[in-house]
Amino acid sequence: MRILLTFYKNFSVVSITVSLICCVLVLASGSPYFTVMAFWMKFFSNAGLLGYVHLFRDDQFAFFANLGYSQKQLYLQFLAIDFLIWIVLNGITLMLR
Amino acid sequence: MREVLELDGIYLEYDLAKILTSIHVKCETGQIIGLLGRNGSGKSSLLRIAFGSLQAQSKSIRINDVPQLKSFNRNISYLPQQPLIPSFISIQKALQLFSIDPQCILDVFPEAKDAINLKPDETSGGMRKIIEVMLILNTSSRFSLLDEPFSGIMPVHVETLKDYMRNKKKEKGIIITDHLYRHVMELSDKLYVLANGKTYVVHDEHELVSRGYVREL
Repeated sequence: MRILLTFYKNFSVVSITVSLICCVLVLASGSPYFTVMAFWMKFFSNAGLLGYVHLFRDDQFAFFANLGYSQKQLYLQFLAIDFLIWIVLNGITLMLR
Repeated sequence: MREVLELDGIYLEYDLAKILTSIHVKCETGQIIGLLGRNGSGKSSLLRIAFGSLQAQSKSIRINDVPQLKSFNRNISYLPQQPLIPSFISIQKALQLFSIDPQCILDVFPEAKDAINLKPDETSGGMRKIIEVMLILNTSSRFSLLDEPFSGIMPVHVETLKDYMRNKKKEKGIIITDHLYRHVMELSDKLYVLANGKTYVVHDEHELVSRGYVREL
C-alpha cells in the first residue's frame, strides 16, 4: 500500500483538485443528477492524466517494476484509490447539499 | 546453492528490422557476466526483455530451469540507463520502499551522506547514479541487470563500485553492460559480445576487434 500511495502522491494534487471541482459543481448545481456529469468529468480527466503519464512520464516505471508492480497494476490501483476518494468526497457533498 | 539465470530463444524485431535473433546468455549466482556490443546492437533491449519491461516476439527466461512467466517477480532487479529513482521521491524514501538501510551505502560511499536526504534531481548525476547502482545491488533479487552503471561516475568511485560488485556477487548473479569496456572486462567472469542479433562468448580479447566493437586493444 505504501508503494501505491507513493505512486498516487505523484498525481494527487491534479487528481484531488479535479475531484473537488466535481464536488463544487454538484453543490453549485443543486441537483444530485449533476453527479453523473461529475463522474464523466472525473473519468475523462483520469484518462487524460494516465495518457500523459504513459506517454511522457514512463521513465519512472522501472523503479516501480523493481518493487514488483507493472504499469497495468499501478494504473488500476491508482484508479481504484482515486475513485474511492471521489466517491467519499461526492458522498459528503450530497449530504451537505 | 548456486542458481542459474538463462536467457535464450529471444527474438525481437522492430519494423521488420531484426534486433535479437540468436541469444544465449547464462549467469550463475557468484558470477559477473559482461555484455558488450556496438550502439544499437540490442544490449539494453536484451536486459529489458530479461527484466520483463520489454515484450519480445519470443523469449525464454529461466531461473534454475523454471520459466519466469510473470514479469517483475523480484527475482531479477534492473538498473536502466535512464535515472531510476523518480524525481518526486526523496532518495531516503526510495531506499525505505526497498527496505534498504542507507547505512549500507554510507559504509561504502560516506560522501553520499548529504545526498541521501535530497531528491534525486537535487544531487549530482554521478552521485545519483552511485546511489541507484547501490540500491539495485542491495535489493533482495537473486540477479541484477545493470545497464551502463559506470556512466557519469568519476574513476575513483568506479573502482569502489567494482570492488563492491565483486563482493556482492557472492550472493547474486550480475549482468553488466557498459561502454567503459575495460572495466567490464576486468570485472567479468564471462564476457559476451552482441553482434548482428547474436551473442558470442568472448574467449580472446581480440574478438572484440574482429566483431567491430573496438578498433584496437
